[in-house]
Amino acid sequence: MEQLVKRAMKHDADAFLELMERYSDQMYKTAWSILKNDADVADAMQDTIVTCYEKIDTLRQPQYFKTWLMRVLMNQCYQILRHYDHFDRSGEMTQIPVHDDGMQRTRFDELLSLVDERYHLILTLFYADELSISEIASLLDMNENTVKTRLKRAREQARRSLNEENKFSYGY
Amino acid sequence: MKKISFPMDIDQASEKQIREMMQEKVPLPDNVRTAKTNACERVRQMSASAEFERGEKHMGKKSHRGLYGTLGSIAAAAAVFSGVCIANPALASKVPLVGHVFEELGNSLGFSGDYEKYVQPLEEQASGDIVLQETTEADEKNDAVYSKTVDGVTVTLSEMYCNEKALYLSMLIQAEDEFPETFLDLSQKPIICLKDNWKFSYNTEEIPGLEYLDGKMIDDHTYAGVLRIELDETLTWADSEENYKTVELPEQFTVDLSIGQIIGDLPESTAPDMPEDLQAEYDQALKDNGLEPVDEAYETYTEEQKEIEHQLFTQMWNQYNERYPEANQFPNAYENWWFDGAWEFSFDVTVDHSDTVTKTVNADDACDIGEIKVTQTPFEISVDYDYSKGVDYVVTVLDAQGRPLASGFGDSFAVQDRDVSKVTVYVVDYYEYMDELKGYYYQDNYEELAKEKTYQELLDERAVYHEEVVF
Repeated sequence: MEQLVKRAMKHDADAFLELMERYSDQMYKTAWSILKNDADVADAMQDTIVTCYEKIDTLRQPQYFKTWLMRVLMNQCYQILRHYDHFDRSGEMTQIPVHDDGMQRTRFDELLSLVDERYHLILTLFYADELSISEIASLLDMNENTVKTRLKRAREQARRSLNEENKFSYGY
Repeated sequence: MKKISFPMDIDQASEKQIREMMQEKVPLPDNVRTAKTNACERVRQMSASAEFERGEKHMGKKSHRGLYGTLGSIAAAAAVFSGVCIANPALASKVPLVGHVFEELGNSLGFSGDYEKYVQPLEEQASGDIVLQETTEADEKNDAVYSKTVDGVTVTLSEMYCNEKALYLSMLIQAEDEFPETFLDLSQKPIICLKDNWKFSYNTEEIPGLEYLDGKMIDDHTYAGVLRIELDETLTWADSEENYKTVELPEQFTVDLSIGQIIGDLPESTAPDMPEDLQAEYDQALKDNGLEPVDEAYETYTEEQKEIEHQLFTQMWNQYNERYPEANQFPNAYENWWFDGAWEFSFDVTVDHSDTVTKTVNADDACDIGEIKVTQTPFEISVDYDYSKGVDYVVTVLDAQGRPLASGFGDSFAVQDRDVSKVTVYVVDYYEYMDELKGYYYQDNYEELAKEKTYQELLDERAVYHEEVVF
């Protein structure tokens, strides 16, 4: 992967696109955990891919590629949310999770549905993106202890719900 | 950095369940996949323009010819083959190419190795079918099994090699008329790709692809290249809206390949420049937002200013794309030439296990992870283990010089320039690895750090299990 990033940093489009292919699942999950809407996720991913290629000169070290990519993606997502804030003056409209096929339910969705929405991103960054606590802290502009606390709460919520589901499934 | 710790009462099964659920691959919805494809096409366009601006060398000495003029004049007659030599006078005295593409390309391949030892000419596979004999009228109608002609462009599948990880397929593309000039990448290889569809007999889905060939021009009419197809990605698919199906790679299977288009990048983009009115609008919008020109001041922008600039830049390009919609497509006549197919093939594959060695170590005593399999093919190394047992750990492998190779579940690594006569398998605590260890090797001052302690020495100290494996 490091070689691919180094090649991408020299504007090797093939290498860059290969990286986008490898990270597309993680990018999708990260954007979904913020936006909850496939149409917006599509916009965010499209802009992120183009922006990252344009600005890859600003990446200094190949090992930070994934964190940098996720930072750009999250910025795109927040930009979209700000756009909604601008038009949704009543502030009453709530984003309802919308998959365009109307019914796709993955285990990833299922898990997110078990925990408070405020923990979706942190869970995704930790488990799906496999970022470290310090990387997440840097991305979310939080200190590491806050990340650990939120992660712990998210895990506890998920664990409780899963245990309930497991009991139900096994007829306890 | 401190090791993260979680309360001991957390249910271990739930922790595994959480991680598995979060890491399960999600098929991209159609609109997301389309957006991603569009963005990738845009990147290719930007890349071609930037390369042109950097004045890279172009292929050939001929002046640029119009795409449609070139391809439109191609006669529909099939290319004529003679024996296994391509019937091009320039090649008559050269090595017969069909069945020898790997030999011809040799070390110029990005994933070089001793391929001649492993590849199988495809014509030998077809029992009783003599594939590349003189072309007869019947051949022109029906084509041969591994050589198909459409509008004067013949695609011939030449050789194949398949190990447990990847399928390598070499091919010749011969155009009756000369190939259009093609952009060369940094290693002076023409950028040519295939828009295609793959169907593997063990997978019920058709897999669309855009694959870049690794190869070179043999002469003005003939290109020889190799495709590498990662097989892991073909082994799992959604067989319904809720269920995923995963199969083991069978020993033998059939591949149906339909090449829809052969696409090359032109050496010079003729895409219209950004119109002055749109550029002026963008410049004015920057000023209105209190921003200095990008070229002079981008590095001094705040994050918020960068976002504003990006928004304005995107708006400008959206307007450009509305004005020149074809420029936003792939392929497009500004930046590409292409041949339309379809060239359709079906071939049988037998997985070649020769010189593919799997060594197994058992880490059960140290960490319950069980068996870890390290597989070395002639060209790659990979690690597999029962992920459900290993979720609390990372398995990472170092080469004989102590440099990291594969790490994680199912990761593969090309070994062409590495000494893998022996490797060391490490099982490391997941959080320690993520939070601390993996960053050590990649620090800017690693060379200095290594004088005190190398990455391998650090892993020796911290891993819950390690074992040297000699191949």
